[in-house]
Amino acid sequence: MTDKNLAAKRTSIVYAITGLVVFLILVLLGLAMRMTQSGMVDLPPDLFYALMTLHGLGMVGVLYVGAYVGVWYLTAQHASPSLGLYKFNYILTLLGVLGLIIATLIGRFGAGWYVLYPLPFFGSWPHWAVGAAVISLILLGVSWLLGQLDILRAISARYGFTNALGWEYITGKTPKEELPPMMTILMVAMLAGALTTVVGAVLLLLYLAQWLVPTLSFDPLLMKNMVFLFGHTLVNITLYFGVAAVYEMLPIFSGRPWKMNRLVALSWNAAFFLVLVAYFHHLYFDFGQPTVIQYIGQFASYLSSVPATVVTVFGVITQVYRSDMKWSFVPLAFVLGIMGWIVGGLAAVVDSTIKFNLYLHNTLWVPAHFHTYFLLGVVLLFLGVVYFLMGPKENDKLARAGLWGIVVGGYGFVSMFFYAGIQSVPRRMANYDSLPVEKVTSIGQSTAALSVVFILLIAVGALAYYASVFKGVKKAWAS
Amino acid sequence: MAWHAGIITLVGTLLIFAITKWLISSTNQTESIDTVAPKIYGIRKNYFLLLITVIIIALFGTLQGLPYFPPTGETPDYTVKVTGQMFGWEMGTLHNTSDQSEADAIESGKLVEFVISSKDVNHGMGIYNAAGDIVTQTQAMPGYDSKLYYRFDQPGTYHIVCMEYCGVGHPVMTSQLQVQ
Repeated sequence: MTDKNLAAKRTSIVYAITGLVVFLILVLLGLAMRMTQSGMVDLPPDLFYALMTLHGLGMVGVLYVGAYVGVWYLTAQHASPSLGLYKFNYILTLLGVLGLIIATLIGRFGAGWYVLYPLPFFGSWPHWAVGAAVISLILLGVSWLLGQLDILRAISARYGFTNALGWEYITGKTPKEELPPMMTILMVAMLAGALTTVVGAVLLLLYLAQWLVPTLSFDPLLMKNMVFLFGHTLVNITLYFGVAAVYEMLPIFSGRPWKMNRLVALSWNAAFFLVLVAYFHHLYFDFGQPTVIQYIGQFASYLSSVPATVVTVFGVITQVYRSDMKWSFVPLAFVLGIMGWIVGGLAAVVDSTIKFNLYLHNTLWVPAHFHTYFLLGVVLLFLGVVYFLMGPKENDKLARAGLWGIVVGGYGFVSMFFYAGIQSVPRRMANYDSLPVEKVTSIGQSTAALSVVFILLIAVGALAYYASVFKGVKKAWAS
Repeated sequence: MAWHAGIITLVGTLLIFAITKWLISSTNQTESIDTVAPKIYGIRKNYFLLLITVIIIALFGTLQGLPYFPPTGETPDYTVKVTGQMFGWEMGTLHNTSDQSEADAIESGKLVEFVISSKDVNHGMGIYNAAGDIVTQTQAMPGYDSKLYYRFDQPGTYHIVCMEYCGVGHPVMTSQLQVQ
């Protein structure tokens, strides 16, 4: 391994270990929240909402960065993303996270992960905490944008911009060299990410402007559109990063090539447009939106299921079916991760049906579906990539036991959310005692109490996985 | 309706679990990619056609009777303005829509037009029936009026719960609605 490759690997290991530690801490924040909702402990609401904000922003951030690390490392096997920027982004991310910790745990900033305008300026938290949160988010946004642009640059330099988007395959030209499908997925994801991160940056600068000049105010509907264009896309491209890693790495275990073709290119190019308009489903009950936009939201959300299942799921099936696959940790985590992505995606498509959303909007169905595709999708894919990067090459029994702990605990955990959502239990409640609806209080508390058991199982599973994977760090670091 | 969503998701999830189990078990036997690929591509083609059909039917079936309009173009019987403000709901005067006269109470079976807004941050007005189920909801956004139409079939007490997180008092932002 060259010095540069070793440095890239070591940086990835530092990122990965940081990500694993932060993930477990954030799981424990989730545990504290569910214990509070069950009535087992009594956190004051301002602390509950500060923890909720840190948990949400932290998880979205750590999973995005974790997925970025995976695809950065894989991209570096084909192209030359900037190692210096990769290291710089680590520092910028740490600063952003530190600022968020100060804003939430000390300042009790608790506007939730999507900091819906104008709540940050009306909260019970001090003025400085708003500034600390906004500036921290700007630091993170800058880091993400630079990272996205650099991957775009590196892949374009290696394959050419339009070629990397798979347009040679779409137009039927003969490519000069074979294009790994991961490259097109990353081009689409990074382009969508960069465009919407710029929107997010504008949004945050408007927040900053109002923080500096409190007499300013902006249109709440426009701001909400900007929030979800940025936030929805960020979450989706995190999933795309994970899927890209599966396209790249599953063939190592199946022994079957996963080649680029017209269908793969077309579907991922379509995904670019679908991901940019599907976010409308977050605003179904903002009646100020033009009604046609609401229809487009449902239409685009439904259509998103086509490339995801027809191309990617059938691609996975073609890779695995009657292959000589040995079910070691990495392929098992990948297949289970794709399964979680699809289950969460199904629940998301169901929720994107306006008629269902009327009853599910802002109930616990919402965290149910996004915890499914994050915890049981992206996290499992991330654990697979990290294991590949630095796990022991033999005897992965402990890691597998940990994986099953996370999977069983995870599905139990999200089941509680799904059931409570069907039962009209609203989300984001610091407690359910205050609600005048007896059934909602009772189911909200009992499902939260059962969740505690499942979260503990997830945490034990994570620790077992960590114990296994950390055994391989020394060897991975050296070579 | 929420139960329909739950059943669709549960059945779909069990199907996805079964396919995953079948896929993992399939590696007990090995077969060349040259013979596997054509079989799977054939299934994929049928799946694609089925999925497109399901999407078209589902869109036709679900994009009608949406809450953005009064049902079948009816004129509402009552109009009432509801304003959210940290951490309570201000209910305006109930009017008979026909002559704008003040109404004493909402009668069951009659169509109500709620005009919902907010004085500060985003809230969400969720209306719960006596059984504890959401019967309808919408967002309350500052600077915008959301018109929500609902016909209460049963008399009794309905609860209003804030559905959009709005700060530390979010859980206590509740109110009541009497229907005769």
